[in-house]
Amino acid sequence: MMMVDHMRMARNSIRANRFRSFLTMLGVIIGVASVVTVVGIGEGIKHQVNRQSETVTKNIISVRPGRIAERDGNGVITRINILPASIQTGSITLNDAKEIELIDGVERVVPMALVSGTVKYDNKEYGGATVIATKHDFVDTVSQKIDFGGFYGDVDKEKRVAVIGKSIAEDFFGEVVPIGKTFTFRDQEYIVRGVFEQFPIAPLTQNMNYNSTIFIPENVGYNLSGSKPQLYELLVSVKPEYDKQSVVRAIDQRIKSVHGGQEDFTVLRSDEMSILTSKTFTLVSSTTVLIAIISLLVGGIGIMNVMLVTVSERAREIGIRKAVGASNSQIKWQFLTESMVLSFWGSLSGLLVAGIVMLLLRIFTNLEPVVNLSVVIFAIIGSVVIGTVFGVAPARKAARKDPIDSLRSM
Amino acid sequence: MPIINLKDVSRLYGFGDATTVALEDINLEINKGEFVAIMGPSGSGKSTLMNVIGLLDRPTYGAFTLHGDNVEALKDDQRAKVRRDKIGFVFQSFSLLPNMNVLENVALPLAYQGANLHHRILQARTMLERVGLGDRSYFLPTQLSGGQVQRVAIARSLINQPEIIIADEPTGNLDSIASRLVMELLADIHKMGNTILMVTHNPELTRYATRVLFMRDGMIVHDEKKSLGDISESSENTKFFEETTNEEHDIAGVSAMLTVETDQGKYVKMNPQSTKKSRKPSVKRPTKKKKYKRSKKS
Repeated sequence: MMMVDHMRMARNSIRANRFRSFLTMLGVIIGVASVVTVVGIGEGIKHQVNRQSETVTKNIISVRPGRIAERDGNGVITRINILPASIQTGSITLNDAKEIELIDGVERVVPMALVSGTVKYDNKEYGGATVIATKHDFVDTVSQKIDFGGFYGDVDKEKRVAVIGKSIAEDFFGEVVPIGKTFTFRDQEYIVRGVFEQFPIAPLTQNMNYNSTIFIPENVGYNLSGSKPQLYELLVSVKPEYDKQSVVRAIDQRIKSVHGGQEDFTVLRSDEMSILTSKTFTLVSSTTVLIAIISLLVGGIGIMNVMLVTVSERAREIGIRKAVGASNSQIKWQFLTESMVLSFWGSLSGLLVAGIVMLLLRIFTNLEPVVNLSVVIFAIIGSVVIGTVFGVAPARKAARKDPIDSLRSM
Repeated sequence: MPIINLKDVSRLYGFGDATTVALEDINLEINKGEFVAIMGPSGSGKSTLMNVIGLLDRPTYGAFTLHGDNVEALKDDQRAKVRRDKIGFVFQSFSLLPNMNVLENVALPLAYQGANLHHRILQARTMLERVGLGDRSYFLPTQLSGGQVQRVAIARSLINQPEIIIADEPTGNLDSIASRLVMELLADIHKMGNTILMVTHNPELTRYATRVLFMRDGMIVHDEKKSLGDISESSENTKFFEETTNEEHDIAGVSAMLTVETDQGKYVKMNPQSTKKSRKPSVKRPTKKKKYKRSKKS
């Protein structure tokens, strides 16, 4: 009796009970689908962040308040703290920006300051906008094109002009080119001067979504913030001939000494953003993957349960097979193969479901999940292993059945 | 040398007070080429005897040699191998696997022998042609009539060229025409030199047999060799081996009959009138002291 025969028989009996076979596989389907989807989303976010750091923030060093990441002696990130990033602001100042400008290899420093308040247009308030005060060379630093109009220049420092992200144009002004339109912010009117091209977005990152941001000149913003602007990030561009890592180290040491030895800030290379994100996401995904593995186990138990019932139900079949000369081990292998085939097909169906879910996510959200081949292979092998392990008990039960009792039952 | 040789074979179920005797000291020799019909009332041990000879069951006591080899002590897998290579089974009903087509069903014993697919299909086709169902190869068992199912089952039992074919009431669920077809097929197979053991309730079918065994209470009570084509005379009387009532019962009434010591319930006549019609048995049950206590009493 060859494996091929067992497989053919398994296929026959699975086909004969389609609906029950589907229910049997359901646990495995859900488990595989969730593992593959979750890992796919995480992987996708990593890709998106990488793309962002390769285009928009290429060659940029980001200095942020709070200790977000711990580094070891070689400057490799070892640990991520998520919480400080959101609660610790105000630890970096314009003075730090000036200090960084003095460092060798630094091309320019662009301070980014949050300005609180809501924007109004046409007597409508809009809560979805972030107002950021920044220097005129922000546009050069992030190397992002302006779709319509232009960015403000050095001479516009004191003028109430604004450059907006694409989402603001569409959602707030309701048109593609709202240039020349005015909106009210903190009782003052601002004129829209330009609209940015769509920024590549990366969900779940600690970066701002610049598509829903209104940029205003630095001094205008600082005046609104009173004595001290709320700096949430300093964008530092590095001269091409300098090594980024050594500049990072220099900035780190300089600000540390300015802050009196206090490490209440983080210096990150743009390519480290994805590490940051993926480490953050790992926390989320590892929990989900754990749950998914549990559901895979439950799926295995489901297979075992149904197979045990099947063995009793198919006593007659076992009896006939034994009568025509099937040995115990041949019966055992037949049932073992059946649960293996069930779990294998379950994993393939799970992959299909994951594919559909990921496609829908791509269409309807800004997530761009990708299929990770190693996870796919892991899911298939894992399911088959689970099917085999949980198939042993039913298979043994079938093999040990007494042929006479089996033949008598109907 | 007989192909089947049973010596003092007993088969007991349960233990202690609940012991049931299915076979009691059976001594039987069957030679190659015999067509043996086994008759007897339900519970007389016919099926158990078939199961023991077919190596589906083990005798509790006694020796069983098949073709001169002792087989009563074989392990499960060795017995499976003997069944696979030397014995063909035809059951009363549901003898085909419902998920497989006719061809696959017929080829099943060869699959367990490990034959390659080509050989299997070729053989199975030949066998199906032989039973006249070559054009039904790709039908499912549910698409066949009862008689066709049994013919497929016969094709399957023949495919491994067995030494013995065991048929347990092969025509039990068939109408007379289908029965006849199946029996003619078995007769054909017998003519080609196969040994056939068949359980039947129908005395008519003994005309195909060369030997008729009557069983009762786990014993062979009558063993008759006969020529082909005749209906066994004694089979006419198989249903009534003993008087079901006696004078004492007639006086005491129905309640005494129901508590009768020696009879199985089925043959106790509930209607006192019908007892008068009961014929004298032509086959006397051997008077032998019972060794085991039966649990079926009361």
